[in-house]
Amino acid sequence: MDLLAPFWVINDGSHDTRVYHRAAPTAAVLTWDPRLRCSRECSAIIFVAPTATGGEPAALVLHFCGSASRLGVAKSTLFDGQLDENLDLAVVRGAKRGNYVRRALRVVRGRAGKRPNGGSRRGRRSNLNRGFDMGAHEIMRDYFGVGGEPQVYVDRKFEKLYRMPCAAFQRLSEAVCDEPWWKLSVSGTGRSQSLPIQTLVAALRVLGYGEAYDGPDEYCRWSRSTMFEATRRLTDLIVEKWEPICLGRSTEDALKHILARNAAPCMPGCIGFIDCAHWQWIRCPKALAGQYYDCEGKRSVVIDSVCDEDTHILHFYSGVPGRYIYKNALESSPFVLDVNVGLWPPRRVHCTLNGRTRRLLLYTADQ
Amino acid sequence: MFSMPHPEPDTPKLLVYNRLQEAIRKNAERLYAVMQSRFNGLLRPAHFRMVERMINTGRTVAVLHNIAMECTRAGFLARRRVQGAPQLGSLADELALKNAD
Repeated sequence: MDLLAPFWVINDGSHDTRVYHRAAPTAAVLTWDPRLRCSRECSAIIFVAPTATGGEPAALVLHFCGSASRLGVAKSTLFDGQLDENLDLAVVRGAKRGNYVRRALRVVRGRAGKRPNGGSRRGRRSNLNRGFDMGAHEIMRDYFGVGGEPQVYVDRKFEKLYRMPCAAFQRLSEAVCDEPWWKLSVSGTGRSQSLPIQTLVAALRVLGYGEAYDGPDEYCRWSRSTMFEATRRLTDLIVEKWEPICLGRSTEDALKHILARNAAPCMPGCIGFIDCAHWQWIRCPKALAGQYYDCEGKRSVVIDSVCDEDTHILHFYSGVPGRYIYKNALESSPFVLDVNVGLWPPRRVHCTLNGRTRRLLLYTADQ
Repeated sequence: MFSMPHPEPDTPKLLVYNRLQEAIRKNAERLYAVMQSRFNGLLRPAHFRMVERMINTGRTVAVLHNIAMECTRAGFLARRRVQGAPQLGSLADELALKNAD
């Protein structure tokens, strides 16, 4: 998947849904199959008009091709191939169709009375029509380009706004796209929900700008509670997936390299800088205030980290109550525990200083 | 193990040591400034109810910071790191491998 490629949009007027394609649309017209009788006018099966190259219809897209006879479509017209990634629109319809089929089956099996999910109920306020599509369209237009036009914010600006370059964002979105919660889904009424990128952008805005959860509502069109869940899931996902890679122990080669770099200016034998800081916690509960008061009278949490000269983080630990002074807070850090036991740093890496070989390497620390 | 600055430097040797140590230790202080300016969620942690969420968010920010660092390293960061680093790009490779799996 290449995010840098421009997206193409197909506007589906009757349903007011915009769908983004990665390839330029080969078919000019989408035709609707009138043979199907449905309770809502918007649901239909889509035929994509023939392309210029082939005489056959390019794709009649249904991801439940097996149920063709039940739907009253001749099987010969069905395109039995693999579902193409570029044909999201058809997936939406197909999934909606699948809903109907499932509902029909449920009726047959006598389970029609039971609601599968909570869903909307009588007496409750109906959902706001936020217009997911509008938010998705704005994001797509601003950062990725839609319809062959270049995006509004190019690379430097992208980096500035998202606090990370486009390549890093691409990695994130690739990781997120496969997760079940983030996938593009279809609601019970057949509308497609928000794109994974839209959710990701909203969660990153909370993290990057420090916005409140209802901050991105105006731009990304997500409610406050969903934003909260998205942020929580994003943090959990990243911690679970990447923490062992990014914040794990360095290899010996890396240590040697850091040693060489630090020896050049002034500090031979130094493999990192350790430092602590207080991270203020405004919403600390009153019951815990005694633990979390720091020396400045604010409630905070101690974070400690080891970094190298590029501020590349080698170790990160947080969560000690702010009442502890730094020295005591470090005692519970897994990194310092390893150091005390002698598991870290590896003794095979050493440095020579004044003709004497030191096997115990140093971390530069505060007082 | 941890080399701290001397509390009362009186000899020239100690003075020089302290000065060099401070010069190199500034990077650790810089980390918090860079990380907080990059992810403002660290600056305004008003919306956390529990410490667990704070811990997870802190880790996330650290990971994201590292990833962003890996991507932009050739741009504005120390050239020395780029030239001889043995594990440069290893993260990208690992991620690619993971994705392939």
